[in-house]
Amino acid sequence: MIQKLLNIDRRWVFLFIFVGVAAAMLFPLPLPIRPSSDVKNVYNTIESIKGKPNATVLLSFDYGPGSEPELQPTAISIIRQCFRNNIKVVGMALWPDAVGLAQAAFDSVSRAEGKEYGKDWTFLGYKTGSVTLILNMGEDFHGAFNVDYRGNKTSEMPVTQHIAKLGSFDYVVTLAAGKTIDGVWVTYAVDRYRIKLGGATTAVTSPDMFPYLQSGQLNGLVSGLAGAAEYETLVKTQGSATRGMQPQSAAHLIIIISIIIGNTMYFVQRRRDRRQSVSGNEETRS
Amino acid sequence: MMHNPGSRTATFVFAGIFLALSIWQLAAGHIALTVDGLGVLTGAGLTLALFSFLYDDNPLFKIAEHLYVGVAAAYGLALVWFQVILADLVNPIFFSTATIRQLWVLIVPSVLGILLIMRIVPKFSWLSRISFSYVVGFGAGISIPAYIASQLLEQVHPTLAPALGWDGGDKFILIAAIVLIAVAYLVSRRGGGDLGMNSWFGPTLLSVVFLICYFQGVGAASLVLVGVAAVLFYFFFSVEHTGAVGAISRVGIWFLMIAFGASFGFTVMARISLLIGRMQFLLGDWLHLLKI
Amino acid sequence: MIFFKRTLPLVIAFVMGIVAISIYYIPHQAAVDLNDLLSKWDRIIAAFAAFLGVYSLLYLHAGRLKRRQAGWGYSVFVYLGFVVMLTAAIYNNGAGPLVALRKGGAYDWLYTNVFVAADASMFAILSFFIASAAYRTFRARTTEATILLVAAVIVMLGRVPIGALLWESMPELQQWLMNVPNMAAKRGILLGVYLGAVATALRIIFGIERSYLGGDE
Repeated sequence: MIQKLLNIDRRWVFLFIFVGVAAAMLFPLPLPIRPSSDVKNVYNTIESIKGKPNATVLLSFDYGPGSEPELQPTAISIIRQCFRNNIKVVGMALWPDAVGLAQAAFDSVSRAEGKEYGKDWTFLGYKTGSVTLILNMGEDFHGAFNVDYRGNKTSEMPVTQHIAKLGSFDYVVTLAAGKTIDGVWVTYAVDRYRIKLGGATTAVTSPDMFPYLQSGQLNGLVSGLAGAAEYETLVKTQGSATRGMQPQSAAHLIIIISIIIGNTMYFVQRRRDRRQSVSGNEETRS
Repeated sequence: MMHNPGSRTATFVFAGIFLALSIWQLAAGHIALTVDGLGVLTGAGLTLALFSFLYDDNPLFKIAEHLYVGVAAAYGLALVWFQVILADLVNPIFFSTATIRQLWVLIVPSVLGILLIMRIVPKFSWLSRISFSYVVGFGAGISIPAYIASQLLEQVHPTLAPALGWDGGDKFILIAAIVLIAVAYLVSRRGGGDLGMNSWFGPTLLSVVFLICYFQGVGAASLVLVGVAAVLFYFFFSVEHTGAVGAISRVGIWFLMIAFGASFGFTVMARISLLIGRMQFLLGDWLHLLKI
Repeated sequence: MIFFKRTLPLVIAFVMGIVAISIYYIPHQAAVDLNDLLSKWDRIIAAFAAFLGVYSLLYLHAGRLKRRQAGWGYSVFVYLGFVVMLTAAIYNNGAGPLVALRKGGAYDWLYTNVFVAADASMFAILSFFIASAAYRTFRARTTEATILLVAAVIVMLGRVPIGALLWESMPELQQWLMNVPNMAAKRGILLGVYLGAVATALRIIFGIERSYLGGDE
């Protein structure tokens, strides 16, 4: 019986997860969300620059649709926070896959908050090179991105006119699904061009970011769907991340319970096997 | 592939679910046959086709997968064309009044780029080595000072810096670590056992230390120092891990196991989040079952 | 010929490497300008690499079609997706390929409804496999495995609201675990990795590591 349960067809486990997540979505049970200090650090940095003349935040979209649920809500919340505080936002992408997602985030929030393209925000799009793109931006922003995604000159748009180089941004936040925070931004931009860097990552990459948080090279971190939900709580606008935390809780519980059940059965089985082999030995001896 | 019964079941069941529920949504008037409506149906169809792999490999999955690969390739190529080749090369060279000096700055990398593409012509593929050596050599060059400054020095510094302002807990942990290593060394010199580092004793000790540090809010700085040192020790000393070396390496392994456990937990979290994202699309945008 | 095929690339890599290191340490405007220029060249060369990538993908599937390899029919869909998307991009919502991308149109539609939907679903499938792996293989067999398992469970509970409901200090314990032991181990790993990376970069510059040249010298 135990052996059978241990070797259960994995499709039953799949079904179990699917049903658990779906049930938690269809019958939500709101749970309180408490923002952590790493998330608050990003939020507070943006709050601290409001009122500054020409305050501008650079958002780098370094992810793809494969991590949209984790990073898109954070992108939306940060843009929303900036717009509400009259902070300008410039978007760019080190990953080509992110271009459409960035565009969608900007479109929806700028419409809701009544912000104007070219004056309050712009999206530069994607360029190849990543590391060398950062080096270019560090020295000459308008040279690196001479036009934005829609072909407007960056040296003429009000939102980017005053940006001479990377260091001109009051805050840079990178939304990363891969190695762009540590491999590109921390390595090539933070110390060299004296920028203040905040990060948003998928949960997969975020454990690797803690050394940079402690060293101060990264001043805050919004990690995964949980981080996104915390950010939504801070900007007081619930979105897909907050709604996602209930099924997330349910799924974690299911997985932890299944680990416990799996281990219990494993140990029961192991003890039984040992007892059998001991008694087997005794039989052969007698 | 359709000869496999699992594959056949997957194909028909998932195609059936998609058709039935889509017709239901169309009939209920939740989805209209507009550009947007067709978009939702396409997205839902592809999602289900890919999910059908969970039952068994099947043609629906394969078709969706290959279609995606083709679309993704053209998508990326188009972006490179519009954002780099057109914006940084074609427009400045052909549609602007650039001086000769401004032009050569663009012509050199264009030539190197074309040499790179020569890779696909077997007879001239060696030409691409010139461009590769530029990219690889330059990349290696810029990385060395950046790694030393931003990764190595910046990471070593905060590991050692808190030594100036350590609390009592830090001193305790450090002294305890030194004593432990010394004892391990002496025990191994006398040919004794391994201090029980491989059994329950070591991890229990570690857990107790961690719990005291956590609840008392002390010792973080020295725990970090011990952890970093032990992990590096484990990596770099390829001698047999016995005695003092064994004790330090083992502590390094425990730290690594905590980090791997944390990474596993976070990975579970991430994967579930992605499923939730897709479910929000299926149950919300497609089936309109979620209250927003 | 051997000079052009082997010596010249090695010399270029050496010179580029030494120049790139030098300009980092020379605090002069000329060095800054040179850095800017060389970086821009690097970016543009990298853009051409995209064509190589697409070519090798199409070449691979053309081979499958030509040889009628098992499952060759699916390769047709690679071409179908590619051609439709490329046509949409060239049409550019009526504006043609010589102006910046226009909003809306088939290119955006295909991105949202095919690319995003498929990419996101591919990654979502992994959630099922990790859940099944947790059930079937995540066992406290050894001391090390037990430490790993306990850390994973604390993290999984501490990151979601239900963890705080079970035990109020769970999120803080999780945070401490990430900030102290996890951070220490990750820093140890990264110091090792970047020491290795610096060594590899030096090997490239001095021509010891030359696998980037490809085969047959």
